[in-house]
Amino acid sequence: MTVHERSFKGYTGALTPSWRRFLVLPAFALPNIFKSRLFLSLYLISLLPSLVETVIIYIRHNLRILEVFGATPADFGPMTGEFFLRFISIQNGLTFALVLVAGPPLISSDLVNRGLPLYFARPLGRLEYVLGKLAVLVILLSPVTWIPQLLNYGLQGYLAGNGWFADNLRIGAGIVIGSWAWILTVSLIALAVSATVKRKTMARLLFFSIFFILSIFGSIIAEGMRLAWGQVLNIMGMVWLVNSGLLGVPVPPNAHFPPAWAGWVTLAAVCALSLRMLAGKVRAYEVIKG
Amino acid sequence: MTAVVELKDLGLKLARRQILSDLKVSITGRSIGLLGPNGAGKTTLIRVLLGFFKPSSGSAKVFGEDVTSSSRAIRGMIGYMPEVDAFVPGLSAVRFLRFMGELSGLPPKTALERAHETLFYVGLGEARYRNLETFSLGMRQRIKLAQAIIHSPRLLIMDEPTNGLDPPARVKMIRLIQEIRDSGEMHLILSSHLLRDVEECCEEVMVLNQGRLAAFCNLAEERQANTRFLNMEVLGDRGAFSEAVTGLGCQWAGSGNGRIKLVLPEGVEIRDLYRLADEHRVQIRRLDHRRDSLQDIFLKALENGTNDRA
Repeated sequence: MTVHERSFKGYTGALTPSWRRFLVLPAFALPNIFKSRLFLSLYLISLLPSLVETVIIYIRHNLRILEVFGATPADFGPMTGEFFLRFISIQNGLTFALVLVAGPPLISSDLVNRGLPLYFARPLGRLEYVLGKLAVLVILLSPVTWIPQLLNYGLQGYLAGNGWFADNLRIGAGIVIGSWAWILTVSLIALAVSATVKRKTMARLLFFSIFFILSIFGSIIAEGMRLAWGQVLNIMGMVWLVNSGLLGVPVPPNAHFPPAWAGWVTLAAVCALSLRMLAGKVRAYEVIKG
Repeated sequence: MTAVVELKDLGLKLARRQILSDLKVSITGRSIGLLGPNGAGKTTLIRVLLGFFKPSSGSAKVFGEDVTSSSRAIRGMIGYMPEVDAFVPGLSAVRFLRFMGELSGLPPKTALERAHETLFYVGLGEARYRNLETFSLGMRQRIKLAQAIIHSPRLLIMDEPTNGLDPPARVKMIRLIQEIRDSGEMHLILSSHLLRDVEECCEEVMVLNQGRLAAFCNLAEERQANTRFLNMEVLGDRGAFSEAVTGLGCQWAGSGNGRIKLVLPEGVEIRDLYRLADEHRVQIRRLDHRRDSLQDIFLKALENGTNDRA
């Protein structure tokens, strides 16, 4: 066993570069998040759609297996943006559940335990703090969203050959851009909620409401009143609209959706509003007015 | 020598209320006590030094760096122990300290080593694998001190470090602060409304009252000056003795029951008084130095502040 002297010694060694200190936050937060069995289970479930997608892509190009099942590649449909969009949409739904569990406590636990002065009394700014917390969710969500999707896209390109890869570069770019748009939107909303509502349960409820209650309102306005712009309240719907635009999938004619640019504007507005809320709430000390 | 803290006409307004006004002082000592009644502006001044609040007027510098333009550099040199209970939940003591060390820029391996060392130093070595949520109030005060010193700052700012501690825990905390002070590794600013804490740990004292500087003094010099003030009680012919004392150049004032207060001029020693007493057949029944305690300094400062505003 190491025996420690009971004396204080100064430190004169080198310090780590300040630009990468925000990464200390995810390094300490992630092990704590994975301690939750619920989260771990959800995380494993979130990997399943990508696995299913991998299997489908593999079988579709394996004539021997197709023969066994008496199927043809045409039975799986064309390998277009629509195929990838279907799996991306399922994964987005599952990652929403992951963020619902992991996101709301991220800042609220520091607020409740008055931990913010401990961070900000060090050479760490508010922006780096938010970046660090955002990095927690980005690191969590990337392995279940764009990374496996991009691997599957690569696998499809490799197995299909004949220039499929070059002909469908748009899909690859769409997967990355669309997934990042989703990750940033859902993460910033979760952080803004976490900074505003201190109680975890209430924060989760609010986060859930922002996505589901608003989407119900949006759908009622869009379908009931035949006003496509009502869908801007439906954040998931706007993410779908953005993804379909990126992957080149046409919006069904009977679906009441505003133009694709409205999706981008909505997500940008939501992100800007979340950042505004974070800027107001993430402070070492709050000044009580009045 | 660069001042540890230099305030030039510092003023701060928060929510349209003037919290700090015209603070002007240059502090060079190793340990500074920040005294004042509740609401005097001690904690706010600390927050200005940490860059949490920007001055509304004037300037504040720490080690020559301006708190507005070089806030980040200053925070790299400071260790801060907040007044309120503050921690990051879900972490063991050693992991929490390592986390704080890495945020301050220590490399991971060094942060871990220093986390263990610092926990032993503050007396929490045996509890280092326990979660912070299970710590008692005394332990939480010590872990707050540990997180403030893990990165070996040049200036340690402690806001009410003995708040809520029982007497034995308070003694331990004061001893720890004295050890840090005597190690010479860092400068200290100790904010407290407990005069005893400041008296036991600090060389210089800054008294704040209603956001203004009410007094600034060096305790050691103050104690030294007090050795020239004497309180005496004599029995016998006080009149002749008093005249003789005046002849030595002492200023004196008498009161009933043979009590005399006097100031010794340079070159006159106590033994001269005993010689005069012997010559004038006067018994010196009691003789002691005036002890102008920190409490007197504090009360005088508050009284002056009130009179100035009246």
